[in-house]
Amino acid sequence: MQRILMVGKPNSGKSLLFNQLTGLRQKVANYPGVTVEVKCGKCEQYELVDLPGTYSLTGITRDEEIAVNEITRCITRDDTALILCVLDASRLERSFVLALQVQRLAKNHNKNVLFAINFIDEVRRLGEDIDVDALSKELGSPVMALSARSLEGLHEFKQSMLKLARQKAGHIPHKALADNQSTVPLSRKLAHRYGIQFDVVLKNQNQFDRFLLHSWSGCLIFSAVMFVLFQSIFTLAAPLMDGTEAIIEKLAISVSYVAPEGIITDFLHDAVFGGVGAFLVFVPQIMMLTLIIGLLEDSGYLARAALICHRPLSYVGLSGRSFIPYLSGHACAIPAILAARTIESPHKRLITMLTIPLMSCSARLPVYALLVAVLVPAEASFLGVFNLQGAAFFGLYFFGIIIALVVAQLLNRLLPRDIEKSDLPFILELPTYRLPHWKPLIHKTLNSGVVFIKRAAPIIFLVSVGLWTLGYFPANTSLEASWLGQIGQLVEPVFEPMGLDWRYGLAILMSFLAREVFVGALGTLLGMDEAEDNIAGLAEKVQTDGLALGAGLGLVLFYVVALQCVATVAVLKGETGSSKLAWALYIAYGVLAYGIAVLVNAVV
Amino acid sequence: MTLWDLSTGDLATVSGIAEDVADNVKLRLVEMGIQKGRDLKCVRRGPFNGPIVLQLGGSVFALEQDIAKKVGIRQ
Repeated sequence: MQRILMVGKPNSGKSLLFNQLTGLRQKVANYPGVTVEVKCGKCEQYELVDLPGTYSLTGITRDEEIAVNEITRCITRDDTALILCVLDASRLERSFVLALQVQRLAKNHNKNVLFAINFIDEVRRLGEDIDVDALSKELGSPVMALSARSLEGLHEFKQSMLKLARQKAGHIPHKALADNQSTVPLSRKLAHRYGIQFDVVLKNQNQFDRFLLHSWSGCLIFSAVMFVLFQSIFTLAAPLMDGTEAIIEKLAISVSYVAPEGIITDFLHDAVFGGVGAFLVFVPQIMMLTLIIGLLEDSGYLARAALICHRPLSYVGLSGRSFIPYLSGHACAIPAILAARTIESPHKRLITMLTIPLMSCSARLPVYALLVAVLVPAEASFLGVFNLQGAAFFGLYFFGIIIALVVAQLLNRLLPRDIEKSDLPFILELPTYRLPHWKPLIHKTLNSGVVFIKRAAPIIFLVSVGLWTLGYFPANTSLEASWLGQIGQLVEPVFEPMGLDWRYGLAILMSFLAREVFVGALGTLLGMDEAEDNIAGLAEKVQTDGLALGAGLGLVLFYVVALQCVATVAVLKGETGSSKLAWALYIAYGVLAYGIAVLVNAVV
Repeated sequence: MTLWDLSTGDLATVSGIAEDVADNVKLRLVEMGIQKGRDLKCVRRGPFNGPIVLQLGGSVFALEQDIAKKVGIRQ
């Protein structure tokens, strides 16, 4: 199939245009090697490829480097019929810097080019317009104006785009800047001649920024946004999580009706539904966080949040750009570690990646939920307003962030700086404030769920099967006599200083593969079926079984700190390029968590 | 004078970028429009030496102290 490549700077509305042109069918292709998110979709007989955004073909951050490599690789391919370069009507000068570089690259490789000036509605709203015909003549490539949001000009644009793609080599740029010539002066000239007065465009934005970046109101709004964000992970995702749980339970029950009694049913029930089913429950939460972060990103607020956080974060050796990976780390560390590619300095990027696992990801939630229910009475409240259990949750999140900042500070002092590679400064564009469009958001949200399932399901399945097998055999014995029980007694001395017996020890050991295993494993070990489906029931069981306050508190803090996720280690290995570093971190956080738990158990 | 000396609302013209700025950073600054003879406006100064916010060429950027001190300006 012939392909149309989409190239453009970040915030040029490229994703929205892609969604408008391809409709609902699209897939995210992951190329081997580095994970690059390249979206592909069909537009009539062509495959539309949305390449990652960059400001320039000379990338400075890791994500730009990857984007530039992708663009250069794709442009040279024989099946590329057309290069669609998306420009932002409200940011013409900056858009042209990249567009002219792309035009030159296309000319060198004999490819057709089409320029699309997006968000033309923002210009027309001010009673102005852009003379695309004159611009086409001057550039030597076709230029069209449209808005992927208000849909004006979109239909005509699509028809022309398809026509151009069919005309093989009909629109190869006949002029372009020489290879060694900077695209900057021409961009400035073009923006000056064809663009509108930028003071007019920026007036609204600057008025918003006066509030949102203000020393006092800015911080206040920032705190309010973060509070609402974390609240909604709990409140909005909770019904969805209950729903997922109910569906899995129904499925489990109906399977046990159909299948004959015996080992197969036991296996399906405990290992498949109990183990794999339990982790599906976090999927709504991950999607909810992705949705809210997406909303903030598309509206333009996330860049402001990064700006506000830059100074405080730089005290511990991080950058304002570390804020976004930290935030998404509260859903899942894996996409967060990939998001750290936008951090300009390699040193800061490394520190950010190494501390992301301390953010309380959603896989920790069931563990928190269980232990908070055990340790904090449900009806207790503070000053009659705050629910004490809710406050305990926030405390755990906060504890993780504090430890992360302390570790970041330590790493900043200890890690050798690569003097050869100059440390890149913090430079951030503040995009136009825009009302987010639902289409790209929905795709992003659904995709986050799918990716999480694909990545985590195999590991969790293996752990569940392994745990179940060890606990089930030799057949018809009690748990203590099973292979699992025998291993448990072997490791008990290690967990004694934490104030925990062999059953907790085993559950902790199992959760070193994936922490969400803990609740299910403990449930099985305490002799209760369907543990994950009923955290309240399990909490009661743990209470009657007797878990001392010190041991319990130590245990929950252990889960805040420990890096119990093999998938995260694998991604860290890929992104840092060092398997030694990734495993060292795994062990180091394990030891730190153990130390904290032993200390808390001794003190409380 | 450097960018870092500007206060909110000030207008200035870029006079040059310091020699010791790495080539790739210099190129990026130029691509953003920070080039000799270019007019710009300081939109905001953050508290506690936070990044400075500039407007030029129809875009708005934030630059941190280290790099803002490397860009010379005339008022």
